[in-house]
Amino acid sequence: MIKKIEKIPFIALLLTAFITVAVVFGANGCLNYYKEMSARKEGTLVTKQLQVQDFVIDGMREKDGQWQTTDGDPKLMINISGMFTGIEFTAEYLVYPGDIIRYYFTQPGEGFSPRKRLYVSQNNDNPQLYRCKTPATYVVDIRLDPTTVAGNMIDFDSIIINPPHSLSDYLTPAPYHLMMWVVYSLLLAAIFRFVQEFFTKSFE
Amino acid sequence: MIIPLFVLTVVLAFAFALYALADIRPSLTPLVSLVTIADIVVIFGMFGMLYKGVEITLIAAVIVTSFAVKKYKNNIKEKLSDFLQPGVILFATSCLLMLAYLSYAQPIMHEWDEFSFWGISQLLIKNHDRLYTYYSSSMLGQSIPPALPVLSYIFQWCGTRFVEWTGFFAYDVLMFAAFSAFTAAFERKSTNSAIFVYLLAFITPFFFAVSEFLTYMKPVYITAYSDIPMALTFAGAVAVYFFSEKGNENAIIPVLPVLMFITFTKDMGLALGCIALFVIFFDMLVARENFVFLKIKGFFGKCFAAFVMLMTVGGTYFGWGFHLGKVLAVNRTDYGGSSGMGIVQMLLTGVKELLIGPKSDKFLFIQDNFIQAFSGTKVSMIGSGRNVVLLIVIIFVFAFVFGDKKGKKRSATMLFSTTVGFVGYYIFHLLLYVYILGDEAYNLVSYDRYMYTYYIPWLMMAVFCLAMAARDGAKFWAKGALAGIVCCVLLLFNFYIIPENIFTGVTGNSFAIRKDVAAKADHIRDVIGEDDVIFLYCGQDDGMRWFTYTFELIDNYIIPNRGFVSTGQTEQETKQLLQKEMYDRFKDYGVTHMLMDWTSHDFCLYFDELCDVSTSETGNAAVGYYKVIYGNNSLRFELVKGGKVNFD
Repeated sequence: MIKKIEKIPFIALLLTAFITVAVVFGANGCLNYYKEMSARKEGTLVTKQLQVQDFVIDGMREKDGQWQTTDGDPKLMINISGMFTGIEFTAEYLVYPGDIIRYYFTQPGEGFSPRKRLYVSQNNDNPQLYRCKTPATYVVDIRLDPTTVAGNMIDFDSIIINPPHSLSDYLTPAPYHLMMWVVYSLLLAAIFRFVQEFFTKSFE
Repeated sequence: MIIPLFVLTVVLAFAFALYALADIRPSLTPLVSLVTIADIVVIFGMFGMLYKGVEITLIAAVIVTSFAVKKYKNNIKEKLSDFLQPGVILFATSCLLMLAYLSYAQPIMHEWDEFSFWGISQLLIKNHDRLYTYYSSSMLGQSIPPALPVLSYIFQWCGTRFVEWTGFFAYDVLMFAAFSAFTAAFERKSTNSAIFVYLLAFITPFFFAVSEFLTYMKPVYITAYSDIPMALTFAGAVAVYFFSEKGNENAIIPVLPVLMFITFTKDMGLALGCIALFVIFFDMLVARENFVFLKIKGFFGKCFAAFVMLMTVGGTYFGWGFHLGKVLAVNRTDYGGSSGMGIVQMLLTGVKELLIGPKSDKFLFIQDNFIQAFSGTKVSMIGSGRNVVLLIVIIFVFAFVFGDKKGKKRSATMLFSTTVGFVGYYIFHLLLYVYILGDEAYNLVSYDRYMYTYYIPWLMMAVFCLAMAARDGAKFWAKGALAGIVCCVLLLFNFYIIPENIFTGVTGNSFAIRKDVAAKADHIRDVIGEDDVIFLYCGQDDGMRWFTYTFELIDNYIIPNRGFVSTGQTEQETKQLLQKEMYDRFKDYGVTHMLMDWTSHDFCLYFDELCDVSTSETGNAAVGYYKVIYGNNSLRFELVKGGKVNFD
């Protein structure tokens, strides 16, 4: 047995580690997809189309059918109290909006925390489409900061919360995941090797 | 993408030559190779031969490599396989992955000081093919030494135009080369230990950049800021000596180009270079028996080695000062700042005031804040500087307990010398804040950034000692400790990091201001003349937009708006006074044009009547470029080009 372990070359450990981490990432994606699907079946997660007026508005006023920001930190807030998968809206901005940020709160009355923040990104094919998706999670409130510029004019078209995800949404890796795939795999391979050394009692 | 890849290949080839000919440990060679090439190019640049300098240096590197290959023709396969130690493989792989990512994501510069110096200097050097000391521009900080901008230049010297992500790539290659040096204790049979050290080094910058990226994206691997590369090169200098097996000049001479590079990086590099040689000297005293340096034996040999290192650091510092004196006619030692003191004078006055007194109010106030900040200001994922120092000491203790006899001695000495270095570094910064910085010193601006410049290399030096223990001492425990530390740091990393916030998560949105300014600059670029001196008006700008304009309109002088101060009794009087003030200032600077970026209520009130097209139509979402018509003590603005700008 120990003879066999001793003979496994490092490259094999490395390969195993890369496959293992990929499988774990994939399984995690599938699990999140399953969570969303079952929440939708139970009716706790529903895709909704909203108007700007449905939100509690701060730092913005209506002007000629558009929304004008009155300070550099305008906010759109809404109570969800349920499962949440993200927000998607089409809008036209007068000047470059700056960072569009979404905050979420998992406790009632919870204060702002930079760790519960996600950036809303612009769609490459349709620059007027902005979206921010997350795996299904329970949230109480969400807050959308649509721009960081005072005096910006925003022409919102539609705002959709809880847009449905496909399985491939959950499985497509972002650059961050690819980096972490490499990092975790290297670490795992190194630990495998350490365990191998432990069994054969020969530390190098 | 081809040019950076080519330069990277040359760096690796020269690294192989250094291993084969000079017998330097393989994992140390990427760093030594890269900084040697950069140093030589900087020296060429100081004589006005930057473009030629890169060509000559790269060709020379290739020739040296072919000589090495020829010399070891018969056993080249063995040599190559010996050269490919884990550090080298990890270095090459991460460079290639980073190159692929950067050319895919094409990030651009977007942080404050990238436009005040670190990025704009790269652009200037590339555009002119000369060091920025040879011509004048809107750039501040012309006297800052040029190692990093030149490094960026080397990786794209023959490209058609400046590519920002290539600059980031150059920095990354430097950092990865340092990581490779950190792993140099281990050969191929201990690949897993090398991986632990390399991963730890890769994650550590994020570990310290936490306070900023909680509210901001802190890019680390896509930035032109000099702090982290300089910090890692400093640790790299110690590593190049520390992991060298030889008890002779072979352990010292490879350190020299690294020390030279640090001193060429930034004024602070002088201090770090001195601390590095201090740390190396103490390690020599306890760890190197039968030491011979250029035929001088024992203690005197060690002193002579330290002296040579000191000469390298000092020579580099004064060499650049000499260059400045010759080309710019300024005095390098003149640090300036709020009290207009030179650096030596600052140290003398400061140490006297610190030890003997009497201390000024500013001194006392900042001293108190500095002492409090050590345990109160968050600088890392585990909190304040006190916690960081505690972690570092724990790693040293692990290294001491698990090390062999020599390792114990080295760890204890290293802990001592790096602590002394830290105290010196801390006091040096206290004095910087007191004498050099102005009012911003009172709230300790950039404290965390200055501090992690020391904490990062300090942590890595503790890891060097632990790495030695994992090789020579109680292997199982030391290696386990190493693995444990990596796992803990990764756990923290996972807990704190928001994927969108680090370099892999950049999107167009991250560069909002930059893109807005770029769109406006592009809109009017065709009507801007070569010699136009442009007054930029941007209401409510904190300086960021002005900096960004100096970057986008690099070939022109951009005069910032510093606010108008005169006030009269009535609105009419104020208007007259302000218009007169503007006239005088424009005459002073020889302003020929005005660029209207964002207008403001005051500007509309006091100056709009001078413009043929109201600035309310050309400011904000649009841009206006006006020609300044000088009258008899009065000004008029004629719109040259303006209009709405689309940011998509």
